[in-house]
Amino acid sequence: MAIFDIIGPVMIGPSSSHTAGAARIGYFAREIFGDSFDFVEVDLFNSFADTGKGHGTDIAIIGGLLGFEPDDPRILHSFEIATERGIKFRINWNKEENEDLPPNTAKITFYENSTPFYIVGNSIGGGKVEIININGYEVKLSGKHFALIISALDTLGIAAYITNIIAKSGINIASMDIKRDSSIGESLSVIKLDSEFPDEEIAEFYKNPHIKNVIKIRKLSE
Amino acid sequence: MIKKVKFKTFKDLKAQVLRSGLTLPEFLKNYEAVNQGITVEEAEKRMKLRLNVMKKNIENGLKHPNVSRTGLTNGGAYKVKEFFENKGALLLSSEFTEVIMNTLAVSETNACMGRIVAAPTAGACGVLPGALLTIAKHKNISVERLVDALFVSGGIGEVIGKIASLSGAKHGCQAEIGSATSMAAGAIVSIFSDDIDAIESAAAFAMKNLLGLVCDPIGGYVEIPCIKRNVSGAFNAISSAEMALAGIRTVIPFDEVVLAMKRIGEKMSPTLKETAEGGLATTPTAKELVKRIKSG
Ligand code: SF4
Repeated sequence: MAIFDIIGPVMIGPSSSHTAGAARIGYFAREIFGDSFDFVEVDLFNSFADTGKGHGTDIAIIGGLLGFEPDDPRILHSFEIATERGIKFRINWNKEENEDLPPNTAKITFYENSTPFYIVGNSIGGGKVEIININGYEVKLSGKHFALIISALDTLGIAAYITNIIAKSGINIASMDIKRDSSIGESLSVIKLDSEFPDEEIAEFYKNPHIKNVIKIRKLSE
Repeated sequence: MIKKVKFKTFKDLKAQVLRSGLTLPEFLKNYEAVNQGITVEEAEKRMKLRLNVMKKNIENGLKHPNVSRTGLTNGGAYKVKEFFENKGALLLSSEFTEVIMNTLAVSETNACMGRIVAAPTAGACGVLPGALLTIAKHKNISVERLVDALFVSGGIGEVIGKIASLSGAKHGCQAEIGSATSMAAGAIVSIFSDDIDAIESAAAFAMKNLLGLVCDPIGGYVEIPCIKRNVSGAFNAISSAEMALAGIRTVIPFDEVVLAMKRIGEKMSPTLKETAEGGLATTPTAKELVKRIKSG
């Protein structure tokens, strides 16, 4: 732990797990999906659903989804600001205990042109969070690294193609994790990087017709 | 600049400080700067930002009655302030009342979704500013000295985190308010003395006084008993610091006190560790209140 983690973080109260962590999940989800959504659905589970009202978990997640970091006082007014920006949202308080999910879990579903895209995040304490699922693919992202998330048709040589491009850009790969969903013949690669992948080289990936989608994730601030 | 540094215990920290020839705050500033890859000036600047948030919390937290989403927090700090302004200090000096007021102001700000500095946690965020900043105001302590004191409190927190933990879910409230009060006690001593043994003793006294404290927040909300526990933590820090400054030294070294805290925490029933399944949280009145909050 760093001294700034002990005298800190600076955050919107009252709870590092239920408020600051919740805001961070929202923020992280927006980082992954982008900001082009006009409707978002937030499902709260377990302790988030149980005590989230009093902790402002709902307000905090919406704040994060608007791009507010966990110490941004605008979080308190996130519902009004969302409405001003023309963003509709629905909060579902799932009161039934869900044993398959960690204690403080939120599922965030974005609707852009009515196609849903979802992200599941978990607040692990001290304001820290993990993204554990993206559209059905299990992942484990903490925001500590720059990352690329690449979905592709599961074809031979795709991993080599991807790593080749990254190597050419001169960036170190911290780790690479490939998940296959054989039922739809797709794979999802989560690649953690030591530094940021340049925007202008993202197009390289799409030169391979099997690559469907590339999401770039910045490192989240402490 | 020193190379990347680590310490696991207070004893270890003290040995390194003495070897370095630096004071404890100087050492800790270097430590944080090196580990974060920033300059000492930048580290000081970041800490100053935190200090300013704490000051603002006291100022704004007393402007009007703070009411939380649950309604469990309802204008306590403001009540003390009004009483104080109209009638003066009730029991002791005005400084005593100010500690109460200032600590409540910060903790209530947290409960009401304000922007605070977790120290070490959000639930215990009132102890350090409430005790340290009130004393600093009355003793005309410079900003630089206060920034240094916050590094000292962070160093103490780091030792606790390494030996035990700073989480109520893991070791009960002794790890939250207990740690905050230890951190504040050491910080207070550090603004009057560079004697690292005095700092250690203050931290040790403070923690010893709260060993065994369970975490039993009503409904799981960081309000009852948390907010008023911050006040008792602030006073515990002040009396511990005063004893240490007067020259009393702890018989049990701080590291061992923290180890005791850890062992007690491990023996504590999970119902008394932030789950709201025991202690105050399961009193008939608490259950009734929670039912009302959750239904609407
Ligand atoms: S009772 Fe629990 S939640 Fe409240 S301050 Fe203590 S440790 Fe934190």
